[in-house]
Amino acid sequence: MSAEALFAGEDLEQEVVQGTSLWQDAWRRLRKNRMAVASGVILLGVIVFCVAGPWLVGSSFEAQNLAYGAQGASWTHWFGTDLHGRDLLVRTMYGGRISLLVGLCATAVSLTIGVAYGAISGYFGGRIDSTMMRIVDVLYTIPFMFVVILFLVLFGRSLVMLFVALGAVSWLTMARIVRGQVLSLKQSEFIEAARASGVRHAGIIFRHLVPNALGPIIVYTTLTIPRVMLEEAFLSYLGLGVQPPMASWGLLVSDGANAMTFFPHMLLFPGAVLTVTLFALNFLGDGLRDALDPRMRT
Amino acid sequence: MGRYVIRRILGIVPVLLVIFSLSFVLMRAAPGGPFDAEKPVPAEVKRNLELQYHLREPWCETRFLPALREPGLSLAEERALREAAPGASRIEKLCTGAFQYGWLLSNYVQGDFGPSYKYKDRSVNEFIATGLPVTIQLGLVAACFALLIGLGAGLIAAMKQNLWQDHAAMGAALLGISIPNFVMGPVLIFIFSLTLLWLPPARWDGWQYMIIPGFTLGGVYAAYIARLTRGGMLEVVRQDYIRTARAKGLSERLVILRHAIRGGLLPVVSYLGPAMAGLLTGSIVIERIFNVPGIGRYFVDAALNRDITLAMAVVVVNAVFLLVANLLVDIVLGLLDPRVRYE
Amino acid sequence: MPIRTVQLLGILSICLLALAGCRREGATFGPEARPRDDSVFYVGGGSEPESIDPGKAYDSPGFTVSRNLFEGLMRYDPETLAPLPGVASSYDVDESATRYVFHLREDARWSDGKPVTAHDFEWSWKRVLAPETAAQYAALLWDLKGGKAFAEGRGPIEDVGVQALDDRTLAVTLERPIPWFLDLLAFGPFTPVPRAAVEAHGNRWTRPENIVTNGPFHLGKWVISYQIELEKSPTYWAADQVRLEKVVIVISDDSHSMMRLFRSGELDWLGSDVRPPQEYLSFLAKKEDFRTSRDLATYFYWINLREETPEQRASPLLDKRVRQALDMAIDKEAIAKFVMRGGQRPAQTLVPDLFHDMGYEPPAGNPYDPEAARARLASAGYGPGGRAFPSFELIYNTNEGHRQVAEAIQQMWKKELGLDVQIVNQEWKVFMNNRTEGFYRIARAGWTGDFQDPYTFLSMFVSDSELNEARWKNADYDRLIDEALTEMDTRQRYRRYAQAEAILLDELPIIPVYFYSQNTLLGSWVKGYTPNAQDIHPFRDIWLERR
Repeated sequence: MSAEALFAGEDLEQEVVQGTSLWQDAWRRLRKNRMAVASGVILLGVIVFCVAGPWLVGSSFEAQNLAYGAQGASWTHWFGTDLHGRDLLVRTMYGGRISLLVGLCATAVSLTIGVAYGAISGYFGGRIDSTMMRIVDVLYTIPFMFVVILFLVLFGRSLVMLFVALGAVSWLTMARIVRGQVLSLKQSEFIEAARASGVRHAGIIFRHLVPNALGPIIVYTTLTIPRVMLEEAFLSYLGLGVQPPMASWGLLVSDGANAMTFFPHMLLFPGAVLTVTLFALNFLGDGLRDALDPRMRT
Repeated sequence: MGRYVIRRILGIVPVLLVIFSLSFVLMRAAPGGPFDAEKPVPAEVKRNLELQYHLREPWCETRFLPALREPGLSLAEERALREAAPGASRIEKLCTGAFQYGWLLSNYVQGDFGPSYKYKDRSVNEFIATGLPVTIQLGLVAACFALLIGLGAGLIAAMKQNLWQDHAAMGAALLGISIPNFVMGPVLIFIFSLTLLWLPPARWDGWQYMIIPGFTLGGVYAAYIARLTRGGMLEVVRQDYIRTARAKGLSERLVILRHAIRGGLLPVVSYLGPAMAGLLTGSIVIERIFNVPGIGRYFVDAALNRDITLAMAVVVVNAVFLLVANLLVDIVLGLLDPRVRYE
Repeated sequence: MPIRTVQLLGILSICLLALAGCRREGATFGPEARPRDDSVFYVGGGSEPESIDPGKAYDSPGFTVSRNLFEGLMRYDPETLAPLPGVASSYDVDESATRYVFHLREDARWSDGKPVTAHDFEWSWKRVLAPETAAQYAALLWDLKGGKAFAEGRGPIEDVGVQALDDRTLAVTLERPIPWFLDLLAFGPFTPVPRAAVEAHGNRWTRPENIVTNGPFHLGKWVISYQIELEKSPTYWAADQVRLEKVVIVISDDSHSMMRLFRSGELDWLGSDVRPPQEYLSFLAKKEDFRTSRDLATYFYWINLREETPEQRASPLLDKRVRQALDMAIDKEAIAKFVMRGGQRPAQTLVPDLFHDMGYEPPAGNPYDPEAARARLASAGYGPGGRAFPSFELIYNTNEGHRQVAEAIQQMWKKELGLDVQIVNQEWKVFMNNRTEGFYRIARAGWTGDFQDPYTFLSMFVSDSELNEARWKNADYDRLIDEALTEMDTRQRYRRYAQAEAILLDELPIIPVYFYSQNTLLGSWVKGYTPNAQDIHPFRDIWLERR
């Protein structure tokens, strides 16, 4: 709901983007934003850490050594071990894969639904628009946790269902943003021209309208990823996220939060990696917004 | 304006009906029943429970699956009967569901959320009546923290744009957004309760019990509010009327406090609607960690227990809150911003 | 700016580490002395009781409350749980052991001052039996003469074998002799409830403003899902023996939150419905306020023996040799010691080891022997030279501990027998539904005894039991259990039980895994607490000693 609010009020008065110079401009502005660049580099680092890391370290994320549980950081286990004697460094890396995957896939799901829904609603307008937006309003008032839980209960728990469930509750804001963009764009001359030359509705929506609303879509997508990752963490805390022996950052962090009275390292390391990643994603999102839409700078 | 408010309030009713129906369907569709427990109950007892709670409807059974009305049927025999006639069984279930829906709806119309399916001696009204005030209390404490910290940090950041104060405030805000509250809670308890022994670690017994949970819950919102405040203020400061005020030689402080704040806080105000409702659902974790007797916990627990009535009640109450909060925000926005017109 | 933020982060985390480093680590987990000096006893209470109506309650938190509010004809000895005289001061039993006459004490009073009469018992017991009450423990009273018939709507209420001869004499007639009948009388469904209050307030009679009790405590305040306050009842006949003025039961589902409350001294006892999270047990074991004892409960797996669908009929587990091989390939010693780590004992039998101390001689069961297990599997036609064993699923309800046990067993079966088993976790309600409906091959289960006779475990497996989730049927077993019930002599009865259990362990509709233990945290200032088989600790016998 954060980004929702950040975008509030820009629905109708968004200026129509012009040509490619916007992208060049944006890229130039983004490069000048030191924090955004640093965030990008950190994110790349985190991805490499998670994807290549386990392969470099070479120990297993699920091999237990019960006699060697909850040890602090040492040369053999840089992040220490968890309660079952599993290496936390490797688990953090594997957890990162899952968390990033959840973030990307669930965001992709929400992006697909949200863009299609918002574009259709905005393009057709009138009664269709008001009905579709009414539905969004209603869905907004249902707490997402409730829906996700019943979703997972109804269709069984698996990684794919987790993507779908999280994505299915995160598209509402995207739909509103895209609709706003489309509403303001559809009166413009190039759309009139396309319509006059007999391009079909689907063509106009997805070939002309959506590409021209890409700026806000990209910005909001970047901000959705950390939010979805947090939501996955939240589900893990409630015991509804990924199941052990698999790990996600959310699971590691919630285990760590519970165990921190005795074993602070269990929270510190995964928590730091999660926070840094979310931090970087949010910064990058802010940077992109500043770059793509200087008027919205906050 | 009066007509606008009345129309908005009337508009809430159909939305609530849709939410009621949606949550009913979702709860009914979930597998497993409220009376499935580790120690299974005898067939007679289970049948009686289901009758009492409208999970079984004699009329539907007689109409579509009369074999079920046979006295002394064991659960296994009943299952076999249902499997032998899957089509009729499905229709019978739909029929029972329809009856249950009507029963619940007529209860709601009379202001009764029905009996709890898990806590057999309790009505859902009692859960809401005892829990909602606590959740609201917690929400208010959190809102105070959020507004005080958020507005303060946001204003400082705006006035010291691009100076270190600005960066520190915004960095802290991003940090607040990036730390899950189920981590923040235990960390704060660890520091302030278990190590420094300043505040109690959990429960809800007076002002000192409210500080850590209130701060934990309000922290995220403080972060958003700080960002919105800064953005709003910076936007307004560039406007002509502020330039005019400055040109007239008013002190910078006066300009900010008397002129800029009114416009600069608009985004914050419009954020407050969803945020207030978020405080309600956000308390799911906080109430668990801090053993606070509110209703937030039931969003998850009731759904998992298949306590149909309790789960639906919290969803509906939450929706009422959100809709009312949004209405209030729109009214306040209209008072603050002359550009907004009520149609 | 970024530099400053990073610095800030660094300083914060260093502070956190420093705080963690300089924490005191004393001989106790909680405080060493009680931080408060009132006579209020703070107990952890687990989840919100589903009902505290002693007739209808069926969850453990509910019984914890109702047990202290209502007293039956008998009450529990706090050490052995043997029946002590409660509302009944004496009783006579005839030779057939089916007719009891109880004499009620004169000074037994309800909290509104009225005497507790035999009519109260008659009415309360019949209420539990009545179908419209829908009491989950009603089956315990089916052994009253005419009880089952009335409960199923086949007999009149007048024929139920409980009758008040006068205000202070209650006659009870049983369908057949029940050796442990007196033990049952302290249990919730057999305690009296206040007729006037129940009739006046319906479901709401258990509210503090409506409730009338006859036990050592009275219900003070009850805040839903937060706390229940019990206050000493001045009208209780032995009120001078009750030393606690007030008990506060703190309700929370979050065991970590409860642990923090105990650590900071806000709880005197973790309670019997809250267990320390398993992962801390090795750490807690060294603490003086940590207590562990054996529990009257068994952890086991059901093996589905239904043959209703083609898929079920194709199950390789229908062959008893396969089931024996599965049992023998599990190193239960290792599971108890390395996986559970909390004082659990490996289980070769279903009936818990606590009964072994009471003179029950258990059958041998199937000892851990991978070699023999492989031979058993080969004789069923699987393994090297035989058919490949089809892979199957093992289901358990989502829980870290269940997962670890399942994973360990999965590994053992793979290593010793070469079996390919998928372990699948399911959310509680889904799991229970699948298990009772028979949609499983192997499913996790746990069973806690309701009274101190092996019957509470063995009765699950008679052919017509609704609790028999394997749908295992064995006529010899049914006959032995029936015969055992006619034996009033404990040793003879136990011998029949042991013969029956030997059949059970040969046929193996279940795989026993371990016997539960009771782990808890108890302040050193709490006195009068003795660990016992069912983890029942009446508050009437507990007191606090301030140093």
